[in-house]
Amino acid sequence: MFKMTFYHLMRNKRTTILMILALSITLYFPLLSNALSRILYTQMMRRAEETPLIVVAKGSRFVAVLNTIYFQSETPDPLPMRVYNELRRRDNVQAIPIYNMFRARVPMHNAFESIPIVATTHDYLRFRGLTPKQGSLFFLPGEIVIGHELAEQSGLQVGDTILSEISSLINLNAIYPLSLTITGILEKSGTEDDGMIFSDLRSGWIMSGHFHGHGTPLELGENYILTAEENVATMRQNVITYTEVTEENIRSFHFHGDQEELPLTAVIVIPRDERSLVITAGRINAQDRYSAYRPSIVMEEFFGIVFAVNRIFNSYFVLVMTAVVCFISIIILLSSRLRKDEFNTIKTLGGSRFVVWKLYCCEYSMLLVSAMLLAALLTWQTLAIVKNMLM
Amino acid sequence: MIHIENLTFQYKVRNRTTPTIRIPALRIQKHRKTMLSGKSGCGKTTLLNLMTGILRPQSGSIHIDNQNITGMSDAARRLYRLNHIGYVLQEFSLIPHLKLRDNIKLPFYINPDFKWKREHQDMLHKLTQRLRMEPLLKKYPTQLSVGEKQRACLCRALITSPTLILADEPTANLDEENRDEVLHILDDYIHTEQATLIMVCHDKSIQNWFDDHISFKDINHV
Repeated sequence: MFKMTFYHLMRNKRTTILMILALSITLYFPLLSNALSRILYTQMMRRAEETPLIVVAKGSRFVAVLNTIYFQSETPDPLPMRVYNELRRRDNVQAIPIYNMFRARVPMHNAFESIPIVATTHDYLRFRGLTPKQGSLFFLPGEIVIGHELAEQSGLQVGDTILSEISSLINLNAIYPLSLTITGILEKSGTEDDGMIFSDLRSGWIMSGHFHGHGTPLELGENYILTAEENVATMRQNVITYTEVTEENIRSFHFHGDQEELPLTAVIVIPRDERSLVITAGRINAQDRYSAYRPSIVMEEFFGIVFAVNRIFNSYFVLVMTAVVCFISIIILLSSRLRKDEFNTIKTLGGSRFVVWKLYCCEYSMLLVSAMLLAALLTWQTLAIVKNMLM
Repeated sequence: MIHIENLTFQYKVRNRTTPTIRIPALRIQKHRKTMLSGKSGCGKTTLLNLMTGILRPQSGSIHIDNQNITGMSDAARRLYRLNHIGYVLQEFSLIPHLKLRDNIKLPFYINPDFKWKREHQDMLHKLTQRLRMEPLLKKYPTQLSVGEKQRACLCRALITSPTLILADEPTANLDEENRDEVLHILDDYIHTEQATLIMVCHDKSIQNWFDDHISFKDINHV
């Protein structure tokens, strides 16, 4: 039966190929979208589960989690350094500051791409198990380490410099572009960290204008002095600040204002145990201005929405698939008119009417199986390409 | 022995019946070659279809070797036809998307109980060799002449080693050489396998080849 069906399909190659293509394209999109959702879910949930708690300023929980642990571009409202310092003083948690506000332009594939600069401490790198493959970690402002994937795709090496992007044209305090020197390249981790730039917190505050350096009144001259009294000189606002940290000028860098108010975007909290997590989260959430989120719970909610949308698309694809199957049925039934003599011959030679139905079933099965195989192959190939892009 | 008694059959077209066959009695001897002749459209093919069980009479009976064909269920008649009857059809009815070899093997494809064995392979080889069809086995029916198709039909009818062969003008489109070869194969088969042949034929030149002759107008009382 399969032999007869196979010969029939091969004899009508064009029709067969068109039917298989129609079916496989219809199957391909839902297969791909569901597979991608699953892969994304697995990857993102693993990272979310590895991060016990984050503390952010009150706002969207999705923005907070996506920015803090996946380095997505939309940033939450700033969080003062004070929150980090308070958490750090507790003995039942470890706190890691994150300031993910700025980006750098990195040459990639004959163009420039905008890559987040994650200003943090070495605690973050230890927490994520990131160690340098080449060079060393950052220690001074203006020094950065880059992820393995970023180094491979951009061709950047230890000792190279890149520039930060203009973050906001209306932020007159911002320093841009800041020259950043690569001191190390991290080992491959297979996570989002592979595509990131990590710097000292002070580099982030330089870019935001909270930490700056400039020449002294004696070095710059009268034109930059607003007032001068004994040993105190007030500089004019037009004093030009350094856009590169060097051995010569690093001592001139300083803060203005209360350092407890220096901005962060989040604090990652690693509690000693579940009880500490609950207590810490409860205390933070009791305050008006800040929120503590468990990334795994937020991401479950996020993917709940994603999968709900997927289900709607799946229902749509089922309808499309039904329509395609109906059209293919029309083709097969129309061809049955042309095959009337064939079926009569089969009956004359002793074949039952079920033989004819078996032939139809075989035809449907072979077309469907071929289409599924083709759709699976296309999905597999697409996933291989997309996986590299997601990494 | 084939016994037909009080057989009546009529076609029903749009609620109107057209009497076709009314045969009070007919006896056909076993292991003999019987010629069935008659005018075109008189019902000879209908009689063959009744004998194979493809059609069911309104009344009467057909017994083949003491088996009441008309009393069997559809499934039983179908199986009997598959196992015991070789039918050489008038319109060849080869499957266009199967190569000649597969067309000849068609009874084995449509019946899972039939297993292709060494003896069938030998029979295929013998038949195709004698009918000079071996070079054509990989061809499709559309690539064959009318005569080649007719010989292929004969091969298909004989491949299952039937005991009763019903042939509907199998030599109609053959030249003399091929016609003689077909008749020789049938003769050989009938004597070797102790089979019975009933052939619809208008060719008076081969009338003497047959053992018996039935004129359809003599037996049909419509």
